[in-house]
Amino acid sequence: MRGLGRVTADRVRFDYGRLAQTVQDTRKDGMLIDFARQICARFADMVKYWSGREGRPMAVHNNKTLFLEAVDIWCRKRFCNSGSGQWTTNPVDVIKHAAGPYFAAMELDDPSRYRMPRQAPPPSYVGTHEDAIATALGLCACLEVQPLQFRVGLVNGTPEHVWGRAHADGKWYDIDFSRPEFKLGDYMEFQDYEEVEIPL
Amino acid sequence: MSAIEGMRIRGYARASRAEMGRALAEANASALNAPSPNTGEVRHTALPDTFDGIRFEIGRMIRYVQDAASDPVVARHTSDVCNQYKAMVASMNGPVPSAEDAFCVEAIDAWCRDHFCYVNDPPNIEVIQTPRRMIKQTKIPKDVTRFMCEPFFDAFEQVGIRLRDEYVSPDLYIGDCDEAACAMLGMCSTVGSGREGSRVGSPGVKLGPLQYRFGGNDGTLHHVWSYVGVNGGFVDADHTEPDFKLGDHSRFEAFETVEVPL
Repeated sequence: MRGLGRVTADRVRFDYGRLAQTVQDTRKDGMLIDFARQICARFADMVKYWSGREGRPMAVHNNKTLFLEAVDIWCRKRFCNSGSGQWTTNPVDVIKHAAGPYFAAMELDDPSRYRMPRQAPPPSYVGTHEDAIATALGLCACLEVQPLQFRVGLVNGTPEHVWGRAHADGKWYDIDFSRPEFKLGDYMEFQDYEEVEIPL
Repeated sequence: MSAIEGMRIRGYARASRAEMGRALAEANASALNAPSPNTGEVRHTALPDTFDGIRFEIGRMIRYVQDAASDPVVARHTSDVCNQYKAMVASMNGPVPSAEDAFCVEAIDAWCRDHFCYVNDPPNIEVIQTPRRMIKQTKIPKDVTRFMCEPFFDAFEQVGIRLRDEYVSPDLYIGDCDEAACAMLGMCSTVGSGREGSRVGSPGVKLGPLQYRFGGNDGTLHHVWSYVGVNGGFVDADHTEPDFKLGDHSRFEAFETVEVPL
């Protein structure tokens, strides 16, 4: 198992209820809300910096599409690539590794005095594709990027594959981590598709 | 790993103007006496989708400002901000009159505007952070934020944009409108409070009254910003729009205010 590892291919129906619960729990988790805010605000600032440097300044204020892209890029980089650290099947472990120094610094009255020790490599995520997608959608929900859906690919009426969809600034975007070459908006082709709304 | 200090999460209720009026009238008097969350503490509070929920939220926003007034972290930081601003103004325009209250509001407003990043709360959740926590967010070392954002540098490099060596991550605190207002009023509450590190300008300098100002349309109140008493008048400070400056606020049909008793 490397990287994202197991893409569910069995013919049992996906447990949408459990996956939706993961999304809902993520949006209520203070650590994950803080993490989502941090990465999205900072990604937006990087885009602002770069676009300004290129002479094409981009409006980044509460730009939900940029926030969605931030979540997608971060999760794709960390959930789909094999790291050299310990293996984990829990996507939140990967986030905790990245956010650990931030929360350690916040424990101090003056976080600027925090000295970050040498960090272990990020854990290798070897859990399911569905759990990674549900966590990414949960991070989207933390920034009020919504509505959110699970999208299901069907073969002869049978669910074969599930991924996420998020609505940002008037447009739907597919989030599918199952192929390393995919980016935000890409997804696997199937005979038919179903969408399952995620209640928030 | 403990998560966050001062983050309060609750179900959100959208208030009608009448409900909000009652909530505001009662918020000051309500017995919301639990102190602000400590470092690393996160409180989750499920609240009814009624004006009682709104009253609770406003009561907590008031309490956070009251606690900020005696918080040495907030006071020291505010003092630094005001003194740096005063020195900058003096270097350009000459000495600032020591009894001038307004420069403190300008200094705090300018700092907040420079460091605040607006995001929405999650659906059906209200997140409120203490002023102390938001100030601490701006003091996170650069290598820590860089570590967290490492995947973005990789992604930029994949498309031929090398930011790793030139981009410096800004000092930010992040939240929605109630957190922006809470941070501004929390910092203002320390000016002239006489607490450690809070001596800004002359001993007589004091900002107040400090108020939350709510606005909305179509019978609802759905936005909040800070409304700071200075030199016998009030000035609006709304940090949620990037083009606003001190004195600007969004246009609404209806407004209500609630004062923070100090």
